[in-house]
Amino acid sequence: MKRLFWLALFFAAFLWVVGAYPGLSNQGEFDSIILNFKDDVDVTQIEKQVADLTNTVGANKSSRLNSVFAGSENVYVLEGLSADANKKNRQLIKQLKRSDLKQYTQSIEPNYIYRALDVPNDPDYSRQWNLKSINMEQAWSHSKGDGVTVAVIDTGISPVKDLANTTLVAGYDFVNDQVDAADDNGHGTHVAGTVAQSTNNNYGVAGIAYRAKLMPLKVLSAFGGGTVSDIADAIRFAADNGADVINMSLGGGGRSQVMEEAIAYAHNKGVVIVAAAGNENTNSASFPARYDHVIAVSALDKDGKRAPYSNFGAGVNISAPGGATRNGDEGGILQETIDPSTGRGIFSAFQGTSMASPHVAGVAALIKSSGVSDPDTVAKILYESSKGIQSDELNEFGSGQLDALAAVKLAQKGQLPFWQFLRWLWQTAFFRLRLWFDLEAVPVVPKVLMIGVAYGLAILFKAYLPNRWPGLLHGGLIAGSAGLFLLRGLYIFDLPQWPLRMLGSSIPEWGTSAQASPVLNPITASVLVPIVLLGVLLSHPSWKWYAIGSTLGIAACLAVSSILDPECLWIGTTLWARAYLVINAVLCVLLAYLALKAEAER
Amino acid sequence: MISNNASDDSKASSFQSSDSVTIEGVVRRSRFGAGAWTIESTGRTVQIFRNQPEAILEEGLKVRVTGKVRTDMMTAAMVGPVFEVDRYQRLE
Repeated sequence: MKRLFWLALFFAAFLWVVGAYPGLSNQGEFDSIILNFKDDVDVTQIEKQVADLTNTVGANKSSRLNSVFAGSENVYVLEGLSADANKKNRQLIKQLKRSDLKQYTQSIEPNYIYRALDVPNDPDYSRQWNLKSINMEQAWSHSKGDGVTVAVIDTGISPVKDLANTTLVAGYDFVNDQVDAADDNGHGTHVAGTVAQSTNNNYGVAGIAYRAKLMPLKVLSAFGGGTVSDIADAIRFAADNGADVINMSLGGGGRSQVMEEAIAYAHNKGVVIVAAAGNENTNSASFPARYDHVIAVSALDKDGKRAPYSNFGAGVNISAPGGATRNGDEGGILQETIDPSTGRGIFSAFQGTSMASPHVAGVAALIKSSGVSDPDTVAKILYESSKGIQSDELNEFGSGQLDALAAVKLAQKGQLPFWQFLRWLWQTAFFRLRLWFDLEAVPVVPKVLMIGVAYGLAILFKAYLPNRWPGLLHGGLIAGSAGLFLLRGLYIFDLPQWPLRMLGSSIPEWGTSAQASPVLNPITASVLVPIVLLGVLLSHPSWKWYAIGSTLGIAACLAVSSILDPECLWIGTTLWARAYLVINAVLCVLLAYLALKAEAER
Repeated sequence: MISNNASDDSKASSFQSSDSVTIEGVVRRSRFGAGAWTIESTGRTVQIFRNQPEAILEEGLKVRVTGKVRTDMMTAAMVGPVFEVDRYQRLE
């Protein structure tokens, strides 16, 4: 049912897109026309037609065989049209189709220009799997980050050779209190490279928003650490000195009011703030990624999975390539940085959410460069355009995997449809510093259905139930069918999520819910649990209603699962799984009936 | 093993900067960003403040260190809180 719901939404969105799209046939550019003559037309006749045509359409145009191989197919090309005069060219096609030429040709159609992808000429670009994975080549044809300034709050930026064509605006070194914010660690220069490494310069590697300007703000000293107060000062400096985007590939420490206020200040000034989720492999983004108005980024490896070190869960908004170097450098993110021992430029493959964050900051720069200024709208576009992950019960990916092409296209299209806005609101508006709610983790429709079926069954057996249904019967019906399912999407920062997930799962789902697996365990998803419950509780005057309620609830859960999502451990998704669930559902109903009948007779 | 005078809470944010803490663990060079010196103990990792003292910066070295957690600091490596070492002991 959930799939059906999404399918309906998808279909509605599809219709909307189709309705709003001007269509390729009206959009493509062409500067020549293909004339495909019929095979049975005599060669001399074709030559005559071609000669006449040149006279008809104008002196500056000429027609020729498409290629030496096209002779047998009689395919000719009329050249010399202006690619900019799209309307005029289409009129010419109409005119030709009405002329004598029509009877000799199979088709007369535009010879569309297919634009080559923006493949950079940087020699090591081929090693940047990360840029291809976010569709950079196509995205560059829409935006390169012109007119945008990205502040890199980090260990500083050193002007290595592959940043020679990138503009660095004045920054500040808050560690040593000086204007020159050169790097003495290597981290900041690498991060800056991902944002705006000089690209198409026949040297090194590429960067995402390579026409954007970089603002170096040094807050971390050579060992890679820095104080919260320096970082807060740097955020305010960036906001006051024209930065459009801030990247913070740093984290740790506790909550700080100074920092929170600095972030709110920058956000109010229209700055998009992006930060790394942290590398502790824990179920929460670290500070400052966790603050309101900050886009928290988890890291992906080369296969698009969450990198093994990346933080996940509460607070994570989006995921981007951060790489993983456990199996060698090719899995890392390659940029030019400095070797801190010599200060010289060196191409290095790094891993970390530090590397994921500048991918998002770079794409945010492309969005800003496309004319979107409000930071909340930029965030909304990033989330909406990301590639959503189907079952992301642990919120490893936030809204999904970063997609630069989809983001710039959405940014250039302008207004977001209302339903997308609603979805975004669900995903992000619940963000608070203590609690986090992720609606995507809650299968609302199946769960409501399960509760409905459970109550339907209870009404069927109304005759055997007391006039006023005991509270424990309700408890049993809900626990057996759906559990407190809204809790499945709830996270509490710094606490494990599995207890909430257990509470949010029905009894049949308990066998797998701690591992956040949507697959049912045939042991808990069977008549076994009701047998045990009834065996233990049936003699108890009030708890017996819990046992009976949960037996009916479990029947409902199994029946609905058998239709919507019949996947069981060891059995799979086959007809056998479906049959197994149906048989157990029937047995549960039978068991409840026998228990109720025995109760009534007593 | 971390023993903390204030509480046994496992979260960095619960440490007070003034608390003196003793950590026993293994010194490691982390593989994040440009690298960072850390002490890995059971269940958690701290990053050594300013890479000091240099005498303990040896991959695989077992140490017992006393010092304080710097809750006012953030790092590029993001593998755990910053730990400022006051005293150290090499455990062979």
